[in-house]
Amino acid sequence: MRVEKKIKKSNKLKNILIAIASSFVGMINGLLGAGGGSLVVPLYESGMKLEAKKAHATAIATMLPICIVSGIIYLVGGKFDYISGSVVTAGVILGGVLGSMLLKVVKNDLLSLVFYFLMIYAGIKMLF
Amino acid sequence: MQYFLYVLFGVLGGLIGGMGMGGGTILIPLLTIFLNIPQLQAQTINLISFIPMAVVSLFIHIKNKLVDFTALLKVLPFALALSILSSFFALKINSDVLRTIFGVFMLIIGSIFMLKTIKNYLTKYLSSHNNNSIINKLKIYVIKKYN
Repeated sequence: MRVEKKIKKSNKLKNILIAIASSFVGMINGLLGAGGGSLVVPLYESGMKLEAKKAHATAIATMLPICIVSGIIYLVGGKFDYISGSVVTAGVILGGVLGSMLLKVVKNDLLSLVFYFLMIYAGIKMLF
Repeated sequence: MQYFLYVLFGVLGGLIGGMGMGGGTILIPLLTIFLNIPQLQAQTINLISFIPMAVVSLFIHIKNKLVDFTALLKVLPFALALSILSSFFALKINSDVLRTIFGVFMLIIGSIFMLKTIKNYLTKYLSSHNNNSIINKLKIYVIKKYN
């Protein structure tokens, strides 16, 4: 009986922590228009113990509605240049398709390290 | 020429995103630093370009029963609610401030991912070599200490 109560209590705490982490994911992605995916995958994987494949699939299911809603809010409320915007967007979609096909061929630790280094460099550059 | 660069950098950013490394986190600075696209415009581009590919892959994932709907229902309501609020907030605040916040976020995420990759590499390296030499013992010590 006591043990059951304890488990219930720890489950409740866990759900609260998940809710806080989820809110943080939404907050970052809405504010920065990016980054939600890289936060929600570890939430599913480490926080909720989903296996890697399921974590990635569920992450896409999470990010899709969020990106649609944020995208609409940005489009309606912000100043979006539709001509250059659609050209770049078309390029990104093309690159994305190519990237997912290349994924199995070239992905390795060294390449990832180069990208993370670039990310840190760009981050520093954006600060100044 | 300008439009050629737009497509080129778009493809480059999409390529990295499609390979699952950082995604928009690298596309957005690429667009703002090299093409001088305003921060909010770059963020909009990133959000919208994610949609078509996500729809296709989500369709496949649902068919393969890889989406955990119980977990999704615990996360999505909170994430969606806060993303709506913070999207409106992003429209209100100064573009330079937004850029700075983005830079800080990228610095943190980039560092975490980098350390994670190094850790994974060392673990893989250690398990594929014998662990008797002094150097390997040192590596084990370092990994244990910073795990």
